[in-house]
Order: sequence, then C-alpha cells, then structure tokens
Amino acid sequence: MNPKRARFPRRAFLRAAGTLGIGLPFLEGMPERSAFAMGETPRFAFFVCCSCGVVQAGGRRDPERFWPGADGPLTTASMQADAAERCTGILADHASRLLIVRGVNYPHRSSGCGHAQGLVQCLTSSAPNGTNNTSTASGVSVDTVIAQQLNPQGVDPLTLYSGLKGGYINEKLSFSAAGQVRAAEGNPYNVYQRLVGLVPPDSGTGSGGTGGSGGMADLLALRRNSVNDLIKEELDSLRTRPELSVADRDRLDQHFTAIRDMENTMMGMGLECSDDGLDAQAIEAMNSGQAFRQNGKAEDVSKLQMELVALAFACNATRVATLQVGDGTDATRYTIDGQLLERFHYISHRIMSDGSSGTAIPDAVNQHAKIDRLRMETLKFMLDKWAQYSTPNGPLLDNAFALWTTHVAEGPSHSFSNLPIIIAGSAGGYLKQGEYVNAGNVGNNKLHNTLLTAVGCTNNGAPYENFGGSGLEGGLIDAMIA
Amino acid sequence: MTHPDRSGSLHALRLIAPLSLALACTAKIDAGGPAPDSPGSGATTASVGGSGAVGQGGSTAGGGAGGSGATASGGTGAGTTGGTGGTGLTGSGGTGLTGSGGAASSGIPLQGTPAYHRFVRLTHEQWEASVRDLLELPALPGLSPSFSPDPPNGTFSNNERSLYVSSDLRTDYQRAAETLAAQVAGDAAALARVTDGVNDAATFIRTFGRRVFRRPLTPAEEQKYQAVFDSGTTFYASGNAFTDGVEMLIESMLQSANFLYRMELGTDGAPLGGYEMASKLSFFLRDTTPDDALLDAAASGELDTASGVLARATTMLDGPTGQAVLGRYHAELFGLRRYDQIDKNRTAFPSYSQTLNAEFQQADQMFFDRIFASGQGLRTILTSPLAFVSSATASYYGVTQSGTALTEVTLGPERPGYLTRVGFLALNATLSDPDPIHRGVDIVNRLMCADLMPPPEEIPPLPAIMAGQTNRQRVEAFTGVGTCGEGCHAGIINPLGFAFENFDAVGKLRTIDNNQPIDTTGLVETATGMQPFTGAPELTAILAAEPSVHGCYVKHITEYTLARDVATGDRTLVDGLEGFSMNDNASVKAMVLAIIGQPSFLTRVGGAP
Repeated sequence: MNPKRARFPRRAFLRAAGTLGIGLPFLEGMPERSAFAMGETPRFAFFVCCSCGVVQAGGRRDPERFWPGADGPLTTASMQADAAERCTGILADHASRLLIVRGVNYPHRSSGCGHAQGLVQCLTSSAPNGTNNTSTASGVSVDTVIAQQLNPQGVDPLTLYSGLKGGYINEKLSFSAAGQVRAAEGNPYNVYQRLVGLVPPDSGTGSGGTGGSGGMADLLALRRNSVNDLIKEELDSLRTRPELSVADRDRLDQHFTAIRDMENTMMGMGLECSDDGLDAQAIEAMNSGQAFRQNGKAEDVSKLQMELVALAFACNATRVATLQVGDGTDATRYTIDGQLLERFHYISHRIMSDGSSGTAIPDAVNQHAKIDRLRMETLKFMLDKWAQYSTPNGPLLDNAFALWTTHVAEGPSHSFSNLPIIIAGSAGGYLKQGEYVNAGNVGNNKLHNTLLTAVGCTNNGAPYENFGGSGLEGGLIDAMIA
Repeated sequence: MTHPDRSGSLHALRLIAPLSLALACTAKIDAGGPAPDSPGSGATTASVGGSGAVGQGGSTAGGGAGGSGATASGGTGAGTTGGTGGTGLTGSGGTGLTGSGGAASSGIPLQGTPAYHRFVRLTHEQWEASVRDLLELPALPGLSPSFSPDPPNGTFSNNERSLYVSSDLRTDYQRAAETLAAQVAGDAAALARVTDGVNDAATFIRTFGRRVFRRPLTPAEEQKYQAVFDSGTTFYASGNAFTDGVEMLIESMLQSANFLYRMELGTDGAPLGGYEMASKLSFFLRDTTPDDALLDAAASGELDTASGVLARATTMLDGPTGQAVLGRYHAELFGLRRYDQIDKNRTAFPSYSQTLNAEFQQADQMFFDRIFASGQGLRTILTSPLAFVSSATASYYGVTQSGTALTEVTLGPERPGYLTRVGFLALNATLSDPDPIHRGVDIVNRLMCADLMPPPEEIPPLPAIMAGQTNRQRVEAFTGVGTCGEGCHAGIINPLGFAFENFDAVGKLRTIDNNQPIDTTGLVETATGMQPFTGAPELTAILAAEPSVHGCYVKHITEYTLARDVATGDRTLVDGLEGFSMNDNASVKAMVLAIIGQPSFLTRVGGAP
C-alpha cells in the first residue's frame, strides 16, 4: 500500500457554526493540485430550469409580463421602470451583470407530453425518445460535457432539485448518457454533507472544538484510499466475468467511476472554501421532518440549493451544477398575498386540469404572473448571495454564468418557442453583460454551443459548434458574445 | 391548432382489446422442472396426479382435499390451486391459474423492458434494515433517508433498473459505513453483540463475513480481509488491536459490492444457487438481509428445490414483514404517497387540515394490509365495505367514531372498496370540487393499465361558465360529446369519474350539487361490450368482474415480485394469474406464492423469452 500523503494535505475538522451549536464542517487549505493553486482560471456554469413557463405574449393570448420593455442595454433604471409590469424588472439591482436572450427555441417539436419533452431538451437539445411522460434524451446534457472537459476525471456535475416530485415526471434535466437521467438531490442538507465530507466523530475532533492535526486527516485519507482500492479490486474482478451482459458491466463500471469521482473531487477542492455566510440554520430546518418535501417549499429550497452551488464553485468541488425546480406537472401550491392558489400546473393551463380540458380558473393569468414574480425574487436572492462569493481570481460572477429558464416557454400552449432565458455572469468576460438581445429564432443547441465556449469547452480545440446532435444548425449566438 | 378526431373514435387511447384467446388445456410453465414429489402433507405440495414445477400434497396457502399448492393438478380445494380435476399453474380441468375451460385472457400488454441484471443494489429500505440486523442495532440507524434518491424507473421502487450506485450514493455509503463502524467500535456492548463475544479475528471475519456477504467467504477473501482487519490498528490506533480490526472490517465490508448488490452469478436458465435464493427471498419478503437460520437452510440444500423455496416463502409471507412488503406494493401501486399533496379550501371545508393527509394515507394502508392479512384479493379491494375511520375522518364518512385511533368499521353499500375511501376521492379533487377527470384517469391508469396518450398540447379557448351548472355539467361542457376532448374524455375517462360525483372534494357523500341532483350514470367498455352503471357500487362491481382489470393487477404484482419489468416472456404466467384472480378470487398471498413457485422467480433470467 503506497503512502499517499502528498495528495491530501488538506485539513478537515468540525466546528460549531456560530452560536447555533450546529456542528457543520468546513474545509481549509489548498491542495497542491487544485486549479487555483496551479494558476488556472477555472470557469463555472450553473443551469436552472423551472417549471411550466412564464406569462408572455408573443402573439398568443396572454399579456406580456416577462420580457424587458426594449431591446438593448439593461440598466438598473430601465429595469426598475419595467418592474411593475415585467417580472424581470425585479432583477434591476443586477442589471449590469445580466444577459437576457429571446428568440431561442427547443429544436424538436413536441410530439406528446410537452413537459417531459421540454425538460429533456432543456439541457440536451436532443430529440426526445418516447412521447409520454417517460420521454428521455437521445444525447448527453450540456453539464455532462462541461464536467467531462473541465472537471478532474470522473467528477460529476452537481445535480440538484427543489420542489415536489410527484412521480409522473420527476427529474429529467441532466443526462449522463442517452436515456440515463441523473438523480437530483432535493435535500440541501444532503448536498452540504456530501460537499464537505463529514469527518467521522471519533477522529479526535468534536463539535465546538478544532482538532484535526494534519496527521489525523492524512490517516483518514489513507484509510479511505485503502478501502477504495479494496472495493475497486472487487469490482474489477466482477467486471471481468465472461457471463456479464453489457448492461451489467456498465452498472459495475458506474460504481467504479463513482469511487474515482470521489477521489478526484477531494483532490481538486480549493482555497476559498468557507461556509461563512451559508444559512446553516435554514439548511438544518429544511432537513428536519423532511421539510424539503412539503408543498410550498420550492422557493425556500431553491434559495438554499443556490447558496450551496456557490459554495461548491468557491471550493472548486465541481465546475458545473444544475437545478431543476418543480417536476413536469408541478403540483406546487403557492400562497401569494395570503391566498392559497391551486396547483401551479393547473394555473399554467388556466384550467383545473393536468390535461387540456377542465373548468376555468378565474384570474389564472394574474396568478401565474405572481408566481413568476416570486421566482424572480428567488433569482434575485441568488444573485445577492453570489455577489458575496469570490474565487482566488475575483468575484464569482466574473468567473461563472448562471442560466435561468423554464421547461416550456409558456403555459397554455406548452410552446417551445421564445424560451425565457436570463443569464447572469460573464464567464471570464466572454458573455455580454447588461444587455437584452434577440438570438434570432434559433435552437437552444446554439445557446449551449455559446455557453460551452464561454467556459472553455472545445470540440477538439475548436469552438464548440455542434452540441445536440446532427441535423441541427450549428454555431454560436453572436448576439450573446462580448 | 390541431384537434383530436371528433368522430369519437378512440384513436388516442390504446385500451386493451379483449381477446378471445383460449388457454391450452395443459399449458406448462416448465417442462423441464423438477419431478413431482410424492403425495404428502405440508406446505405447497399438491394432490395425487399432480405435475408441474412443484409436486403434490396440501398447502397452507389454500387447502382442500386432494391438494393445492402453487402448482398442482388434481384434487379439490381452494387456495392457490383448486377445483375438481386439477388446476394450478398446470393441469387440466377446473379453474385456478390455468386449465381447460378457463376464461379467455384479456391479453394485457406486456411491453416492459427488463434488463435481467445480475447485480441489483439494495434499496435504501433494505440497506437500512440490513445494517440494523448485521450490527444488531437496537433500531434502524436512520441514515438512509439522506441517501441519494433513486429516480423512478418502472412502477415500483424495487425495479432492478433503478438500483445502481451513483457518485452521490457512493459518497453516502462511505459516510454511513464510517459512522456505523465508529459507533460499534466506540460502544463495548455494541461490540459484544456484533462479535458474539468472539475474540479471535479469523473466526470473526468468517462469521461476520458470511452474514454481510450473505454467503461464505472464499479462502482468498478470508485472507484478504484478514489483512484488512490487521490494518485497523494502523488506521485507528486506539490501543486495542481487536477493536480497531473490527471497526476496519465493518467499514470496509459495508462498502463492498458483495454487500451492496444482490448477485446472480450462475448460468442463464439454471436455478439460482441456495445462497442467492436466500438473499432473493429475504430481501423480497422481509426487506432485509438473510438471517443465520436462512443461510444455514441454504447451506443444507433446502432452497435448492421449488418446494423448499415455497415452504420458506409461505412462512415469511405469514410473518410480520410479509404484510409490510405487500403493503408497500399497494402503497406504490395506488400512489398513496401523493396524499401528501392534498389541500382543500378552508372556507368550504373548515374541518379539513393538512394533518389529515397522513391519516388518509394510514387508513388506506391499513385497508390494504387488512385485505392481505385476511387472505383476500382484488375483488375485495374494489368492493369491500371495510374502512378505517377515526373521530377526525368520521364526518367525511357519515359515521360516528370516538377516539383518535383509526378503527375498523363496516360502511354501507354506497362505499364499495378503495375507490370510495376519502384518500382517493380527496386526492383526485380540486381545492373545492371533485375532479372526475383525474378520478377517471387514475382508474384507467392504475386499475386498467390502459395506455393513455398525453392530451393535445394546446388548451383550447374555454366556453363561458353558465350559472347554475353542476360540476359534471361544467366538465362535460369542456370535454364531453361535441368538444375537442370527446375522444378520450366522453368515452373513457369522464364516465368512470362521474360514477363518484356524489362524493365531494373531501370524499363526503352529497346528494345535490349547486342545487341540482347529482348524475352518476355512465357507460364503461368491458370485454362484453359497453355496460351501463349508476354510481360507484355498480361501477366497482363491473370492474371487479372485468378480465383486463384482473390482468392489470396481476401484471403489477408480477412486476413487484420479480422486481423487474414484465415482458412477452411472462405472458403465460400473467395470463394464468389473471384467470386465477378472476375465477378463483385469488388472494394476494396466493398470487405471490404462485409466482415464487415459477421458473420466473426460481431461475436465472427466468421468464426471459
């Protein structure tokens, strides 16, 4: 067994979080091989997909309640002027960091369940396989490409969820391969635990105390290495059995890769990795009694997940994360202005139904518009928080982008045209900032080509131009590029 | 904007067309099965003249002179087989799973895509119970609720396709193993329980290893894990080498693939090995790792015959965990967890609060458990007047009940079966009104296995609401004859939902709606044509006698028992079970045993085409 002390010089210990008495761990120390230590300028990507579309006109029946009033520069003043009618105006404080893009569509027409097929295309741009709620992607999602190119080998994207999982269409956003959806974690407490790696209680640290001399942490790392080697060896001997099917071999490979993923994640985690500012109490509360599963908690859980993504990026635990908010038939019942509303999916249809037929919901358009405003408040919260995070190379939003969109463009028609797209952050100066642009009626594969290029992904050294599979018009969206 | 065909044809709805398919007189499941046993008594042996995968004798699952049992022929009697002249899965004459003269099967579609995996990861519940039992903990450790969730893949959570190890889950397993190992090592009493007071490393490794891996360790494994044990003193250095070794061993073995996966390593088509069968039975029927007694039974060869397997399965099904396992089947089949999302307009329903949702769920769980425990089947699920009611829900049922505990009551004829319990009714309702569309869709999806295409995308302009309309009239205005939705709604979905229109949004009986009488009449398509009904009692009686409804139910129970999708290779089994359920009113228990007695369960890739 080779000593591997040099690979894991970091310290890890428990401490009480302020006066709350909650023992949440954090990390410090910069591993020798982290991207920051090696002088790189890592870029980070976050994709948020919400449910059931927004209230927008675009030649349909609804009034315009989403898009800014005019193309061109976005300023705090111009967005504030729009804010009463247009929900994007709520983001006015962050105007200088925003890139709002219209004229982007899902490239494949819906042939069945628009919600499932929209979710499938949101990050894959691939033609959905199947027509029903079980539709799945025929290609990988953009976060998979980013993870493969930019993360240390085997490190997966961070795949998150908030809101209800009704069982009909659950997570359907991130695909590791055609047909293989990634499980999305809906409990922020679990995300936190995995992110920082809880040290076992008997290793000489205790809550409230510091501990963890370098020796203890090194011994832990060596022990884990030893166990990992054992498990990998067992998996290997099973994998080579001749009677295994391809599916079985893949299953064991996935387990094998998962071990390597963990080892590589730990290796790469970086300097600015403190949980100061993280709302630890809220994270604990959301875990208590599985509160994160309760109806009406979607926005609160989203906010916590968004904070944790910032922590993950600041710690260089991964370069890419996704968050799906609500499932395909989002049954969230929001309480707005003291009124308990019907299920969001019904409101988005304007009728008491998950289908196309039912009794009308009075004032459904306004209710949907109010829900959009609530979701913009959540996005604003995220941007306020992210402004507090930095990497060794400067503010997080200078080194990252966050994209907000929905799995259909609007409710009653399930249209895939003119998807609401809000991008925050310049990804190292690549993306325009403070602008509202028109992409020109293109497929979202071109959006993803542009974003992949922004974070430094390439196609064999050339700009990424062909995401989403063959048959799609490739290239970048010039209107987005600074 | 396109509309569905207005002709009323059911182009968008693929219902199961009734088939006039006569069963073969002596349909055999496995011509190459073990030879019949000699007549005798005891579980799962059938009567004289029997043949098939299991032999002869009486059965605890049923009974009756001349035999029963999971497979059999001959004899009278009820239970899993019965009927004069032999029945059971194979045989001629009589009823039971197959037999000449049996009713034509509905030909329920079997379009699943099983992978027949050799490595099926433990579910989170199985992991939790297994570590409790392996480490002899006083209670479930409560670590698995924080494990990465398994995205649904198939109807049931135990489907082989959804059970693999992702990156997040790998991290979760590591953390949990470290926590548990430290917990045991740090507590002298816990340590003594796990080691059985043994102080010798080699003995401990062998004993504990057999329990964790659910089979004896090979000599090479014993050697390897001895080295792991010995390394404990380096990594923990507590001063007690034995304790350190135990901790290291627990931490390592709980992360091993040999613990995390149930494995089938034999040749395709061959019976599963004894230890493999012990795991399969234990995880299915007890949701936990096989105990020492079951492993010993495997070692002795008891699980190498179908009769041995059936005997064990019968005992397990009769045990406390058997009911819980089948309880989960019904909870997942009928989506009881969705009751979490129920909410009601508090002005219209001032007595409702969301705390009732858990009670609705528990009441329905008790309903299904009661049916299982009393040896009943699908017909009872659909028609029984049994309910579990507390003082909180009594007013919804129109009964009086003191006490907060859910108590078994017998309701009147207007409340047949699960579909008239408040959970189902309140779930499929809006904040204020019943929702006949979703009541109908739930029945079509979950009870009839009908393949409803998604509704058309565009929501058409809505007709104006007219004053004085009942709920049914409003729904029909948008979906009935002459509208875009006619094809799916008028013919198939709505009528089923309208049968329950006399139950309001919390499931309480009502006789008027908006000052008008309530219309619960409708037509339902059956194997023998369109049948009229008025209200839930007539509709549920029709459903309870409908082959495709039984076919759908048995297809699901086959899926659950085999922990995989069912496909064309399972046709004979599913058709046989359908007849068994239809004609013999087979109990849930008997159906499960019938499946366990088949090559589909007993062999590697059993049931593959």
